[in-house]
Amino acid sequence: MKLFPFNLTGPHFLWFFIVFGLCVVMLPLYRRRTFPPQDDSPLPHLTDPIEIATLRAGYEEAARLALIVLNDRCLIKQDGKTFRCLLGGAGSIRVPIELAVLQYFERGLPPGDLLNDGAVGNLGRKLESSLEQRGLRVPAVERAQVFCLSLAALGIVAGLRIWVSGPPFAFLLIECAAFVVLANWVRRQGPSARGVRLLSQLQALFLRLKARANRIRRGAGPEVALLAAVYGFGALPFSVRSMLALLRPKSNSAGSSCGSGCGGGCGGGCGS
Amino acid sequence: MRKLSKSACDRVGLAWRDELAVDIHIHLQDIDCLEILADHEFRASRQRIAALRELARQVPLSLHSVALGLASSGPVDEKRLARVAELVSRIEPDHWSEHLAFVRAGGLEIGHLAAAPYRPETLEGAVRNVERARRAVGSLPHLENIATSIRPPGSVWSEEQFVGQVLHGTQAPLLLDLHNLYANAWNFGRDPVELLRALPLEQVRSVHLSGGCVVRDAAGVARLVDDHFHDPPEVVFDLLQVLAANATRGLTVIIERDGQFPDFRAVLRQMALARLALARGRERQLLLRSAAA
Repeated sequence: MKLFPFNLTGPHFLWFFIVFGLCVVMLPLYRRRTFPPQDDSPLPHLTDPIEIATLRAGYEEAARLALIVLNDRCLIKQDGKTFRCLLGGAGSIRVPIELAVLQYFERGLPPGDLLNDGAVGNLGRKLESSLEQRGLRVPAVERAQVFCLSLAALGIVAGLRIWVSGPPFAFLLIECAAFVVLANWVRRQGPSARGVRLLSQLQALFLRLKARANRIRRGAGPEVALLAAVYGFGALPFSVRSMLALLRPKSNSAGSSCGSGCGGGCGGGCGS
Repeated sequence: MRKLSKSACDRVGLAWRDELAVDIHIHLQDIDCLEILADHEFRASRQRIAALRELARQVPLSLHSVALGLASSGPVDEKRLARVAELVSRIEPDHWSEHLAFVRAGGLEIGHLAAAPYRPETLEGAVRNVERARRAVGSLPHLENIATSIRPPGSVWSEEQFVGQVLHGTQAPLLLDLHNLYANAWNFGRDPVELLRALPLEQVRSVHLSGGCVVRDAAGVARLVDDHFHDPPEVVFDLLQVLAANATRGLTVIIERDGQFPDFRAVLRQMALARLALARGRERQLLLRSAAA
């Protein structure tokens, strides 16, 4: 009976809880990325960088890529803490989410709320849904269920321990909080085993493009888009960090910059 | 849907180069077939091989080897052959190909695709080498004619006689490089159409189209060099039309480019020109057949 977890002393139970928590949180991700094993069925051909970015990191990544692509084509320009748009640039855009991002900034809305925009979100979820239908991404509902089950398992074990042993339980609560963060990260990992296989193949196929990335200039169009879609924005030879930072929700910067900057600025400066 | 040429068996595609890779990936639906260089993939990672195999499932892929040195009285490099065989088994391409060229002797690499003397010893060596390659890889290579600016010393046959005899002796398909053929005709003052018709066209399965430029050697003699840095000239498309009018089997046409890469729209235009030439050639073949019937 000594090995029964609830009989363990405090530090030993904390170690047990770490192992238990890692198993509960990480095993679903491992299973998601490896099941079915030895799957060699043909993969769909993804040509659109926006779709590839969605596969890799969800529709939020697609919206970020759309912004970078629009900037690369000089249809959107960073202006301090906001973005200015080229008047009439919408006519040359064929990708719906790029158009939605452009129209968002044409309306003079703050960058920090882009990822919560209804039009961008709807288009992004359509992209995710299309990838889910092709078996490349695990549906968000399924991931949320796993997330809830993981938290429930952790909560039951932690709760029982507290109920059986009583205080002190501060370290146990800290471990619980860490596992919630980890489980949330796992929840956001959308690619299925097929999706992971497709991504790793794309990364292998364009490895030489990445190797010569420092020769790629702004305005290279498809090369910039594909490089960022397949490897992430860190693979680009120029920094887009300041632009992407504006997309993070910031109550003070977003609120104040929009009113004065976007509305009057759109259509002014791109291309100059 | 891929736009196939008028004859459903004819395909037009591109040689995969890293500089074109992104555009090829994005426009894959407009490309009927691809060719990858085997020698570039000898040290490829497991993931890259898996990616190439996946590509081969999506579009007919040919594996093009450049340095086996089949046209030689000496034996083919076994290590290199084993690597090609491994690549073919792992990537599962539609077919593989190699030049009818001489690339090494006595362990020394020339670093160039050279024409071997067109004589019986070379023929015997080439037939033996192709048979070795067939046994190692499991299928016959498509054999490619090469460009040369000199008539190989010691030759007793013409190029087309030599190529014809190798194809007869090996029963291998011919990968006809039309710009190589045109360059040889230009350099030796011959009619390219006549040179084309002298080849066993019933054995042509695949075609290379490329471009080159005229350079002057030390003696001031002008030579047409097949450098793959220029667009295929109009005459190459004319030759493709003649070939399509005479070839009895479907043709896999690959446009090669190794440098000075143009805008991809220009590459797509060249593919459209190739499709047009194939369609016209096939139409002509049909007309001739119906007239004969």
